[in-house]
Amino acid sequence: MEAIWADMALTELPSWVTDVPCNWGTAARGKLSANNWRVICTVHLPITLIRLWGGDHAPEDRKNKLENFMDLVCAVQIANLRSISKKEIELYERYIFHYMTRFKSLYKLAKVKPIHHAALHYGDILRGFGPAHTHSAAFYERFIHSMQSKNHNMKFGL
Amino acid sequence: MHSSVREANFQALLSDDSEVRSHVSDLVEVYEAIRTEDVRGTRLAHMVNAAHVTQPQSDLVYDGTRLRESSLPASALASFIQFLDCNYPVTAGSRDMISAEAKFLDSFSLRGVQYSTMSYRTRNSHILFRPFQPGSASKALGHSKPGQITHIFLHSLPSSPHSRAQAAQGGSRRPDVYLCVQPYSFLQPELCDTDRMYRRFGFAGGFLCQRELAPIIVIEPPNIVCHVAVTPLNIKGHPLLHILPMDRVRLWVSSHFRSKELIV
Repeated sequence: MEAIWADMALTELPSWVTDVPCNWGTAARGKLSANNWRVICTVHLPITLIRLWGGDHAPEDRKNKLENFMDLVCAVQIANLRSISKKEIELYERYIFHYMTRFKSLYKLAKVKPIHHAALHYGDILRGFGPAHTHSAAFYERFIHSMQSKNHNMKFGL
Repeated sequence: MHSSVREANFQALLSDDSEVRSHVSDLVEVYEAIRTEDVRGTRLAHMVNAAHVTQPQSDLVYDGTRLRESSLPASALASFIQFLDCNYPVTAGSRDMISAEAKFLDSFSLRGVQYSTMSYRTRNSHILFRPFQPGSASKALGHSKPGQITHIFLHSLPSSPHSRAQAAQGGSRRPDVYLCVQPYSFLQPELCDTDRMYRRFGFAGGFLCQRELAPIIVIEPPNIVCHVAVTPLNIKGHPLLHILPMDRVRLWVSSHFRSKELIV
């Protein structure tokens, strides 16, 4: 974690990317938002983990875990594209299927959660409803937040 | 829900009854500003204001009130002339008319994304771009380079055929936007193996380059591919820079999927 925090402190991100709390992963920081996790997993972790586990000298199990993690990163990156084609949806499905297959062999004690199952079907959602930003929960949650910030007197209609 | 319903009724009242609207004209102005406010992530202004559907809008937006007149540094002017020679070839000698005077900007927005100079907002100045390749119409993304924006300037070219035609008609040409970019230097050959451990993960892993910046080159805004995240790393005692493209619109991403075969 210290290596990740150290690299993270040096990383310069564009202003449209939300900064992640510098002490994420500690009890003091507590829970993170879904967006925080996305930035950590798709930006900060690959930078450090590939440096630590991607070299020839790295232990074999670490290399396998890195490969497995990067399959997930690729799937998440594709699933979050602002525009998406059928070819990319197929690639998403290949990455997520590959990730899940190796996940079961690498982490024998880990349980397959409903979110894993849902991820395997997300290709169908992309095919049916288009890119994630048009129907993701984050989109509606921001609207709820926007509406909650309005002053009102709890009287219905005018 | 209550407030949303009330707002919908209020909007209907304002649009149907011109008398009410005229009585509360000051209020309507403030209300419209709030209603179309571009609240982060909600695309509210985009949805409420349908003008973008019917009227073509420019991809490139900048604040004209923040322009500063100044001279291009000698290195930037030389690169600019080289850029013009390659992109807009004219008769020999006409480049002597290129003025070093230009109007400078700190930032601009391209397709809704803010790009800035390194002195104004460093984090928005790191980009991946397609450098101009003389004699080639290829926009192969494999040739994309990382770099940092040093200057953004507007320049009217007095010698371009278009400008001359407009000047002859008594019109004035809108100046074009150009960027001075310092590309990051390529890796030394002995570090290519280290770079390969990132590159094998394609768009998700990024790549390495030297921390040193190469001489300035001039590009146009459409040459920008995307922002990049930069991280200084020390690998095997070498001070390097890790570059991670932050493309969410698949320009760079789609051509850099991982090369390895996936077992399905």
